[in-house]
Amino acid sequence: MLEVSGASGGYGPIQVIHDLSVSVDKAELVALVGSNGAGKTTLLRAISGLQPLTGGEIRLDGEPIGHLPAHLRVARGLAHVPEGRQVFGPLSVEDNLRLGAYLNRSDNVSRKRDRVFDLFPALAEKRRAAAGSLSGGQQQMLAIGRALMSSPRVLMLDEPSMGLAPNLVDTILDTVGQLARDGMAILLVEQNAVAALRIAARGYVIETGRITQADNSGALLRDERLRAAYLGE
Amino acid sequence: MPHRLSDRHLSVLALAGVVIALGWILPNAYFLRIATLVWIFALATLGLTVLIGQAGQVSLGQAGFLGVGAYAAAILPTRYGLPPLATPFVGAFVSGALAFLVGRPILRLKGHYLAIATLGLGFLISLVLTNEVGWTGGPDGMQVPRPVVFGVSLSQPSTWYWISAASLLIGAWLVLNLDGTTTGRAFRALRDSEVGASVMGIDVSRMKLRAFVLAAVYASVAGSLLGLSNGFVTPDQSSFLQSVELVTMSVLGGAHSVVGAILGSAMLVLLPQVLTVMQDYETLVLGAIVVVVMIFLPSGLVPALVDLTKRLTR
Repeated sequence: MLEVSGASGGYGPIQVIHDLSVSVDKAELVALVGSNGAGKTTLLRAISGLQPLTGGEIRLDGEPIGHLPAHLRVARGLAHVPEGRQVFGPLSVEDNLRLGAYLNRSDNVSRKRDRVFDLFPALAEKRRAAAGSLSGGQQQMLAIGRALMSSPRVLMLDEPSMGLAPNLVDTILDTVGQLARDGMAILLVEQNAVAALRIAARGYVIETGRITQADNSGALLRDERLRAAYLGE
Repeated sequence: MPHRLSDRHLSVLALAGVVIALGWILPNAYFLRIATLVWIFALATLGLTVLIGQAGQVSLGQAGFLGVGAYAAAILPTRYGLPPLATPFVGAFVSGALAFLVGRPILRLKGHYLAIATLGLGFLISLVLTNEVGWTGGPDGMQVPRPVVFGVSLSQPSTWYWISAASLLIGAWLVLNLDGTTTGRAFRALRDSEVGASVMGIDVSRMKLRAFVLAAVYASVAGSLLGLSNGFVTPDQSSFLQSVELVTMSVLGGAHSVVGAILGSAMLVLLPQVLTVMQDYETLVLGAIVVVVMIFLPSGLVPALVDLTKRLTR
């Protein structure tokens, strides 16, 4: 469903990612793990159009989307939960969700919103509260819920576990796993490699901007070298 | 949301009440002229309420558009025989088109860089108005012909009081209505997180451009009204200082508040009049008041007052 081939890019003269190829299928959860600064966020930003690629191709349903500006990629069914959540702090939870449905307002927005509240009941209780007043975990739920409001077919999440308590990480990742089982293609970027690989079907390991390993997640979790490098064992 | 709807209408009604009451109470032409200036500058500042307060983009060149509007009122009737009352519309169109053309490249910039670029734009407009003597009368300014309606020349201060007040009410009503709309939410999303807005599918550059054009149109209409009501325009109205004053009005009253824009304008128009008793120290005291307000009420007068009443009624 989402195919990235030979992606290269970075910030100005500094190349961060080199010849990366990644793919995600429908109803598949794929984890992209690697240490800080490996290029995970840069890849996601390039896929969603927040920054340009210097080489390579991005295809959604077989159609190239690399030339489209970010907002048109959202229209094609690609949603990105960016690093640091980026919720709209002074706006209410409901207004944040409504903005998530910015491009398809004609669809039943309140029905989609109720589905998000079913997924994250904590948000329903805070629906009128300013997003900035929520806890870190609730903000992450809101960021994911807001992305779901665009009814995406491909969902990309950038470090949803960052700065969250372990039990909240489980809650959020369980929900992400559920979304994949329901048919969404999900690309999950995580430093928390164990947690990500446990719910993922496949995984890529990225080091200094290059894919160094690609396998099903069971195999990656058993890999000695990987355990030593990323799993802290 | 119903409670917001009524808030909106209430604000406009309250404002209309104030406007009508003042129109009756104010004793003479001097006070009517001052009040007219308040309404006109409030209208220009309302554009900044959307641009700075809601969309989070700074413009230090807003007086440039004020100047375009003012000179539209002066140049179009004298050189092209346009009816004076049509000039605010033509001026608004010219300003909007100019903002659209220049905005595309300028609005790629952020923060300080955007501020400097808009400052440059303001300077350019000001320079043209000052130096194109054959067109604009140069630094001396230019006479603005009085509109004539049914054989009556519109020169009474009370006439311009009502015209500027009506323009302000319409302008305020439009901005208040923006609040609950998708466009209004998109503006605020832009201010809070450009990345967030972008991944929501909001065309960030287009929304910025929209806010910029809207602010230019507001400033331009205000400029035309200024020229028409004064009967005279000078390049000073497009100066950098005037731009700074408009931003100060917006921030002082509360950048994202419609009532704040009006209160901020009222302060900056009225204080110099009141402070004339201080003679040489007038500007000094005015500056000090602005500094003190910003130190103690950094979000502006109106948000601070709203907070206070909330705390008192709790």
